[in-house]
Amino acid sequence: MRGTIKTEYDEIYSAYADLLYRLALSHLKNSYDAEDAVQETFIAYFYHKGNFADDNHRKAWLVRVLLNKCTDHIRKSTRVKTVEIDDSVAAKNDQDDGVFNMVMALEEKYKTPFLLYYFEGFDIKETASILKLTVSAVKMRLKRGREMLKIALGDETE
Amino acid sequence: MNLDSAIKKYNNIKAPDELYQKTLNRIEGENRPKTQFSVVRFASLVAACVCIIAAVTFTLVNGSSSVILTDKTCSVETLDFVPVAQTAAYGMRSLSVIEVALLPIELESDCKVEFEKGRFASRVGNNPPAEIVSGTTVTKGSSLYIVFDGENEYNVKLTADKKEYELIISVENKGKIRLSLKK
Repeated sequence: MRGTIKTEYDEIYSAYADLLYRLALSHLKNSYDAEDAVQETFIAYFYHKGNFADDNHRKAWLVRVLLNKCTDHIRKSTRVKTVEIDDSVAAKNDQDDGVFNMVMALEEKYKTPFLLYYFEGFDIKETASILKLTVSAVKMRLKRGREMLKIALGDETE
Repeated sequence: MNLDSAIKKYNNIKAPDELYQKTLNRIEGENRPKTQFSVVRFASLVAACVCIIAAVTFTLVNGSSSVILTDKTCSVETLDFVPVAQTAAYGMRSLSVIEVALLPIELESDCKVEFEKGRFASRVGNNPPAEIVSGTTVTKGSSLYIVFDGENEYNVKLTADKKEYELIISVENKGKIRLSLKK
């Protein structure tokens, strides 16, 4: 690999690998498929000849591609074995695993905006752009996601 | 509802250390000249062979070196399905089908491969898999790849040591592939 590509790879990988892996693992719940999806995303990046306006644009593009890869994996996945997401989490001693697990258990249409907005720090407009949704649709999904979590937490504490 | 601890837990998820090198290798595979050979490539070859052997275990028939397969039903998890993006990494971009997976079968003798429909590829050593035409003789030690492109059944005639075998690969339902071999 030419030095320039290696340099760019190092830069991109260190900036986004964890983010992409977290999202992939959240969707696929399988570390093998998550790794595949991340690898495919980086490969797509190096075949993408377009220019990015700025780092946010590039980040949003990578997340968009990753989510598409995850969708592809889910669609054609025939694997039986999965790895529980907890197995891949470094810190296992947090007290409030309940909320985390409930977020992970949300339906995809609510979980994805939830993760992007609350966990990854994208704003509403960016989240909408990544998911190809309107701003109001994202707000609605976030609201419903919160409601579902509240209900789930209520059930758990009863 | 306190999300802080959940966010903290989420942010503690890190990409595995080995993912850096794995991804780098795949990107290298996309960019590197196909004829280049290095210690790394040789190591990849050994690793790939071990993976293929581990993933697909076939029984010898008659103890002969010409035997390839025996009747077997395998679940997909025991076979090495390679998603399309990975095939691209191996230089198979020409395979444009979307829903594609590759089933590698290790050949234990030189084998003439004939088929009427479907797409097949072979891989010699650590070279990229190359699509083959019907009638091609795939050499001993190579892997034969069947490209699952949506059909339910693939028939292949394999001729090894002047013996003919009919290999039928049928996709029964989700997660099940039946390999049937008749002499």
